[in-house]
Amino acid sequence: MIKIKDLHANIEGSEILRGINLTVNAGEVHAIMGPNGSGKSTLAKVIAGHPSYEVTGGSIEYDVNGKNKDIQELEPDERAKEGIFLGFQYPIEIPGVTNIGFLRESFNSICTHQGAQEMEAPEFRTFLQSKLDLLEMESSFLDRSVNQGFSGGEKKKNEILQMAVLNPRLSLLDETDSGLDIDALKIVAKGVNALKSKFNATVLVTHYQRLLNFIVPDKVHVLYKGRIIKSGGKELALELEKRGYDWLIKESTEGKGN
Amino acid sequence: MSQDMSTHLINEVKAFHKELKKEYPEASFNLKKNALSEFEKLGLPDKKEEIWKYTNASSFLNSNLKLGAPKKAITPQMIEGYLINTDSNRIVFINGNMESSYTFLNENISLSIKKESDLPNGFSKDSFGLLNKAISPEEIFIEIKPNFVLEEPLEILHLTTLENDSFINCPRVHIKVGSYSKISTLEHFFCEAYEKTPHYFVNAQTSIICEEGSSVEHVKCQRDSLKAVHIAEVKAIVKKDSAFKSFTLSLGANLARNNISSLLEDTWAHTNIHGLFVIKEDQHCDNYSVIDHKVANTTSDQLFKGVLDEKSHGVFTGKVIVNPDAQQVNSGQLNKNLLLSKSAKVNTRPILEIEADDVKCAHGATIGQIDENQAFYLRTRGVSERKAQEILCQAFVQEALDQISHIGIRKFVSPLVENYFNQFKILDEKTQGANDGN
Ligand SMILES: Nc1ncnc2c1ncn2[C@@H]1O[C@H](COP(=O)(O)OP(=O)(O)O)[C@@H](O)[C@H]1O
Ligand SMILES: [Mg+2]
Repeated sequence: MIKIKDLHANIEGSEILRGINLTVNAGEVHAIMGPNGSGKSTLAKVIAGHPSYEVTGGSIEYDVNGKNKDIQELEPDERAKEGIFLGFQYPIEIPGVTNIGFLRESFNSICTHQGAQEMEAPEFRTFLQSKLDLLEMESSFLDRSVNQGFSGGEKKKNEILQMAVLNPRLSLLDETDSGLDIDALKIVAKGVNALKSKFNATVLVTHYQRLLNFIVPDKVHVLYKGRIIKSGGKELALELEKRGYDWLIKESTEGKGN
Repeated sequence: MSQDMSTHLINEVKAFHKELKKEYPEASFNLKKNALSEFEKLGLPDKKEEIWKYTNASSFLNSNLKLGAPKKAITPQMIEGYLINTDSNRIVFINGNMESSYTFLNENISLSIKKESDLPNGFSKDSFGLLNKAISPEEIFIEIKPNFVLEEPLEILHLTTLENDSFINCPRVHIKVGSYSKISTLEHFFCEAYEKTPHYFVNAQTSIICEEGSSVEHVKCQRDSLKAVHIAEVKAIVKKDSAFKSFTLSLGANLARNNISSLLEDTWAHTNIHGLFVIKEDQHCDNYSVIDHKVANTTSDQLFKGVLDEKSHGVFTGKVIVNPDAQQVNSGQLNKNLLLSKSAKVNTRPILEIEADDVKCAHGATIGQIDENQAFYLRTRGVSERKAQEILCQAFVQEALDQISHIGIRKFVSPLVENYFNQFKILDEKTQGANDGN
């Protein structure tokens, strides 16, 4: 579904991604772990097309209608229309825009792109109800401004609500588990699992094994200083939980001889 | 320039007065004549005057401006499109003249038309106030009787037609709201031939007296031609226990200057002076507000927002006066601006003249651009860049529009602003700015 080759990216002149290689296939769940500042959010934002980052080398190929396409040719909204979804580590507050207005705008623009029918307001509200139920969210959230005054957990649930509405093919969920209590975590995990199918893929950026107890990954990668220094199965996450990152970092720097 | 324009206007008014003298009673005529001679002494203001620091008004006026705007017959359907309710209380001006045949008021609202007035608390005696008085052939008095609640808004329509090209219009409206009465009014200025952008000059004056315990909301919606000059004063006197809420929306006019003042005359008087301007091209919009806390225990609140595209220029001055004996005064002021282009410009200044010590006066101002992270967030959900910009502009103005208390007026005015953004360049400007750097 997505093939990232030797990806390099800068922000304001400093290189953050320094040669990422990653392939995710349809039906898979990947977890990306790693210490703070290693470039996990940067990778997610570069895939989604954040304009502040400059890709200086390598490629991101993404499957569009059965053909591999270099997604750097696509604007962020075009990537979204092709099914790429970024769940933000820090969801943005937009005072003055209602949650439902925002959801409908984005749902309809994606529908139009995919040649599906747009939905009128009352019909859309009904459609949303099942998604709200899935995430155990009050419908009063719909009429509030996007993320404004939401608690940390509510913001993360709101991200998954958007994901449930847009039904993406590739979901990049950046620390969707941080700031969640165990009940909220279970609800979010239930939501993500319910949306999983053999046609879509999920990339979870996380610090903690506990999310991976609920959403079981097929592959786990460790990102450090802009490179993937180790990949493995779900047992790698368990090992990291026990031993931390230091041993891996040591191993990788020794291996490189620097 | 300002000298030439003053001379031109004085000559026009003198010629106009020759005709007026024939039909006017001498006493009334003399008031007009005196106003003109006072105007002659002052002339048009220039930027050396502190209150006109950022706006050279005469440079926006064409030298072919004249008096005696033509009467124009219109069909009732023509104005219905501009009314909130087709059966509402309304006063209709066409090209600056009040037209009784389109005006309708119920029995609780009285209307009188006078050739003269010398109200002790009348309008300001600045250049444009004097010019208005010297020119305006009649004064419109609207009185709302005491203990009366008007649910539907009183609509004051100022319609300009293409025939008004090159004319000066000087409507003068006085509104007196009786004690314990409550009304909302929408004063709506618009040009029927908007696309043809006629140049004309509206010099309007509105005075409002809020009697004890009354509650008055005045919303002004200005959609004059993009080549017109609109200079207007709204002056309120707010008495004991009464509230005056003003909202000034400016969309049109090449130059718009809004002088808004509220005099809190007695205890527990409250005023809101809110507003919004949304401008583009080479529009210039200058808002000058004065809130005067004459006595103790008076409160005021102010939110003014501006959105500026292309080469437009916005100005906000918020003057707050607290007199020496006016203790326990509470006043808040906030001015927020959104710049959509690198060539747009804003000047904002609070002027606080606070002579009492036990007062709370807060003020603040911001000038910003569209938030890149908000735009990116919307775009990651499939919203195009252009649409994201429009949504964020709409979100920005929302907070201002929410200040309009009367739901009917708010619902009428909000879409006019929200739908206006599709005419804005926003992106084109930015792209150009980026290219300039290359
Ligand atoms: N605007 C910026 N300018 C310079 N460096 C930045 C900027 N934003 C992020 N960084 C740096 O990029 C690195 C990677 O950040 P990030 O991708 O957020 O890490 P992670 O998500 O793995 O914690 C960090 O060292 C951070 O300081
Ligand atoms: Mg991060």
